[in-house]
Amino acid sequence: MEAPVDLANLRDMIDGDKEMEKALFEEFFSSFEAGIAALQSSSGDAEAWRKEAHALKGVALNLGAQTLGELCKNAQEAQHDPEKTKAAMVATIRAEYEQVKTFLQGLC
Amino acid sequence: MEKENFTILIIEDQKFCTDLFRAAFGQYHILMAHHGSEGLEIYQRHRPDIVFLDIGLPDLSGFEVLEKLRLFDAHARIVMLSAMNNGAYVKRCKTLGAMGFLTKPYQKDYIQHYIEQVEAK
Repeated sequence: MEAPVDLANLRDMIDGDKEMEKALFEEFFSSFEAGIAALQSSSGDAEAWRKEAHALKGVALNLGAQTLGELCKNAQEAQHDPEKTKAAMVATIRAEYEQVKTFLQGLC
Repeated sequence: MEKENFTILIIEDQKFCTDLFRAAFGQYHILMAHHGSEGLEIYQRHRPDIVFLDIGLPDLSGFEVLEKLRLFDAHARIVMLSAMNNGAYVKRCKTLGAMGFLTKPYQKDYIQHYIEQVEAK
């Protein structure tokens, strides 16, 4: 099974510093969990939803989580979709995030 | 110029992204802002050598911040950051006076390229 994160670019950014990597993972967990909660609560406001999904996409891409970034991009483009569709998108993003988190925690 | 005297301002709302930037370019003097208005204030106070500016900010858009920075300082050197590779965005940023446009994920070599361009001046 393919890894949900490609850390090559992030490791290049920080010159392979393991302590720094661990600190960044912790910040990623904190940022992303807060972001998913914000996305969920903004489902009734198209512009707020678009901004939250866009912010999550940037974080996912900077980590190297391409699939997670794509899911956030899809959410961003679905700003005018019904709330039920958005709820399903949040669930999909959360499930992918959990895979990413498990993968990263396995590296620490 | 010594690297610690070269000042970089990054304006980006996501702490994970600013932490990553600081981790990669910690040899420079890094200033960080998480809102556009905060970035404008810091620029006016510190006059950094280069600015990396995200387009998607919570208060002002990156375009508005770019425009205001260039009105304040016509020589401000600003590189735009975006999670979206959008030709219209690139064109608009160039029209507004940005020196460059980078898409996420951040890539060290590309960022370093702009820093070195400014350092060489």
